[in-house]
Amino acid sequence: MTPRPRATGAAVSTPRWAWLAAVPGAAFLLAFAVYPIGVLVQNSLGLGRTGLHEQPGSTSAYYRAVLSSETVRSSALTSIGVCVTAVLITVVLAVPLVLHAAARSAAGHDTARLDALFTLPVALPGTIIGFFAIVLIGNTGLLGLWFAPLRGVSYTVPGLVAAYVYFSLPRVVGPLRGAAEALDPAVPEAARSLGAGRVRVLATITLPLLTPAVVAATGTALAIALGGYGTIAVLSQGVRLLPLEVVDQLSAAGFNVATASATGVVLAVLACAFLLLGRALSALLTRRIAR
Amino acid sequence: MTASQGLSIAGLTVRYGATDAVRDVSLHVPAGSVLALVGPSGCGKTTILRAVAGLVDVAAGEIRIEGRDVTRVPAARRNVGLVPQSYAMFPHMSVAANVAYGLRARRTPAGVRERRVAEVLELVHLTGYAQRRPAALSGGQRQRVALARALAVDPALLLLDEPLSALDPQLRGDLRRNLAANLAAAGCTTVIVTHDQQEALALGTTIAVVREGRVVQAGTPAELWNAPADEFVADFLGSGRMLPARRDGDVVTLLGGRWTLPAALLDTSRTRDGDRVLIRRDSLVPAGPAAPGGVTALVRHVEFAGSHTRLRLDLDGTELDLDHPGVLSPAPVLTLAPRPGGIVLL
Amino acid sequence: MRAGAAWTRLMVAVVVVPMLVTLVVATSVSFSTGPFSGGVTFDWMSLGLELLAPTLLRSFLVGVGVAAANLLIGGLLAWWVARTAAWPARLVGYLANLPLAVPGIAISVALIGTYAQLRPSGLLLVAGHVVFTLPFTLAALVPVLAADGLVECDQVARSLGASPLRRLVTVTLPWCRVAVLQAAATAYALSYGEFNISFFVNAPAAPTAPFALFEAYATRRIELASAMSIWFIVSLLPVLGALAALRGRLAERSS
Repeated sequence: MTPRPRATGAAVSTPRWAWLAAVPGAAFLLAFAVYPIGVLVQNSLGLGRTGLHEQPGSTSAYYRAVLSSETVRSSALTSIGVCVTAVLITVVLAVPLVLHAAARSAAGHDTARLDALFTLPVALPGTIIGFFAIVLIGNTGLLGLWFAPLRGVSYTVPGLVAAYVYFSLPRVVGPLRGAAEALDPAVPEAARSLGAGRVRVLATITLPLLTPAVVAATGTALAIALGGYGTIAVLSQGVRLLPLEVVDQLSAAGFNVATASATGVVLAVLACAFLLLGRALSALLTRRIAR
Repeated sequence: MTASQGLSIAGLTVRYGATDAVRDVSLHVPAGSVLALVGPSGCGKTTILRAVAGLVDVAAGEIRIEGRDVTRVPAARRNVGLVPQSYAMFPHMSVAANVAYGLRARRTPAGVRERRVAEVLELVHLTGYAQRRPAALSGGQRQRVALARALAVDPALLLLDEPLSALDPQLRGDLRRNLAANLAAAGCTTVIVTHDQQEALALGTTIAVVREGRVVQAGTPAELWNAPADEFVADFLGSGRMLPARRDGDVVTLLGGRWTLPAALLDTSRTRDGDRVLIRRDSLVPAGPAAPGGVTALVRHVEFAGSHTRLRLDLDGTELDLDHPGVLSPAPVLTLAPRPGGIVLL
Repeated sequence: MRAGAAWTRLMVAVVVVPMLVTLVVATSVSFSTGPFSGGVTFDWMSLGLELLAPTLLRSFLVGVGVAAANLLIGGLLAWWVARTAAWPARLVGYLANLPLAVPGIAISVALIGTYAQLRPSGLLLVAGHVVFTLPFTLAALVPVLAADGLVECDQVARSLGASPLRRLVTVTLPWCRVAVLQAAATAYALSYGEFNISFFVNAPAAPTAPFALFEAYATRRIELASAMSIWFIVSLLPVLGALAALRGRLAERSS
């Protein structure tokens, strides 16, 4: 989503004072985005603020403590497991949806309301989605009242996966909807006219052409799901996920700024890794297609 | 050539929502010949093509390909070869894989498939390009790959949607001749949709002029050029004009009496007692005031077109185009006389 | 196509059912033995609204502030990024997208570790929200401001003698009207529902709506919590509706 500045040949004579317009924005970003993250890293190395029970001084001890901690490791692994499963399920749910919407849109129907329904829930806080899980499959959840095995499932791994699927759905449908729309409808039509049945067209034409967008969307959705605190905060009774560990250090276990910062950095690196991996793979695939 | 070969369309009607895009169209294309569907934008010609391909639903009518009724048959099983307007290359496959796609869909064995691909690539003169990707090809090359892809499956019917409109105008002439040669070599029953009348006249064995969903006239290029059914066809194909005429023995009167011509100067091969005349761009020549059948016209506009000069004349309220070979010095008023046989009586 | 339509309907149900069930719980006298056990009541809804109303107002005010800051700071920045072809523009673009890559909770820890003194006034909360929403504003405004059509209109206006201010008001702003509204509505909606970044930086004495909900989920009865959730969603609907309508108009424009 990096906004691309002008690269066209149209002669744009920007006035000399144009850079002034960038000053408030740049200053704000430096002050409230770049600098605090720098401080975060600094704190995690013990160079900045430290908690009541933490010794100041440059050290990698906090990282070592965090990375060797059993709870953090298990939370991280569970996080990755839950989020990867959830996002993959979301993709499987979303692809037929966006293909159908693109077909309807190409046939001239108005898909605005459906698009809104599937993408606007992105504005809901993760906490509400955790609550939806409680209402449906919590200890007194509606589905639990009707099917005994579903009671209390919201606090288990399958329940969390379901909650994160709901959470990721708008974040996957959004980008994929645009990508499906961008596919030239003449291409699958040509394939059909050559004698390929619907399944063959899907498998050999539509899905391969959609794959780069799917990979990129998966990476982004994974990064967001991994970092999401709201949902697991509401469902924290049973299974623990990584964002919980970050918060615990600053609230429950005392004001351990350094340890919390280190855990935060670990979480951020994990999320960024998935995001960048998704983008890199997607770019690779796009180049292979358009070579 | 029996009527059960080639393509037959009877009473075809296609509806988009509440409007009829195609109304009661009936056409026959003999096996091995080329039909050019021509008409202004939005007239329904592409819809007819897509209906024959099986890509749009038919509200009424029948489509028969080589005698087989395919009206309800899905596109994949009609055995047609479609070349879309944008060529619709499969961007993630090489040229060879593109061409082989239909054969793979028919589960043709690998050996047969590869031979056929080589054969068709040779037909369109792209033999060395098998491993290239579509993105690395020029527009003309992509058109030939699309054609090869459609021909590889040996279809009963070949359908081309505006095959040359996506290409540079200066290349079009050459590519049109190439296309004509390729089509002749393939010998497949073909339907071409185009809005360019020059293309239609050059490529089609028969032409059908479509307007607002209906076929206005169908016939050979010569028929449509010399005996258009109405003003629309005359204008569309050759910027010709129809004028009401009255024949009294040896004299034909036009424009309410202002213009009289000796009947001997007319082309009366179509009919001897017509009530209209067709005046084409090459029907009149500048002449002296005493020339038989002369008429004065106002010159509205003069355009230099290389090998000829195009004039837009006002003949007592009717506007008319005239092509004069060579250069003509502009003058506000011109006296014109018909070329012998230049004006057709209909 | 029929399979696609059926699947779409199924997915619509998946999205809508949790909200409907929440509504059922919110209007049941007691949910312990099942929906509507004990009957239907609106008591929970009215109590929920009473409890939630002050926080809804706070979220509204924060949202408006965040939207305004986005338009001002983000608008200027977007204009500069759109007009500059040089590398600083791309760098700023990447910087602005940082909050999308870094998890909100980590940003929250970073902010509280740096500017703890700004927390009680609520300034840190607004700043955190602006950091989070700025990339969306840029994504919405930069393409529109960089459009060739706008540059050409601007050049024509300049050749006709219009001053920079006049050009801004009569050419640039009308051109971006829909995108500006979209950016403002998006910033408002995202700020309204923001929880992760806000977690450590929101003013503890004056929580915003997502925190009231969080507290309700932990401490209140499920019926009351459901009622409050319903009111939260309802309070978001006008902006979301406006966003949907604006998207339609933007799509119309570009087709």
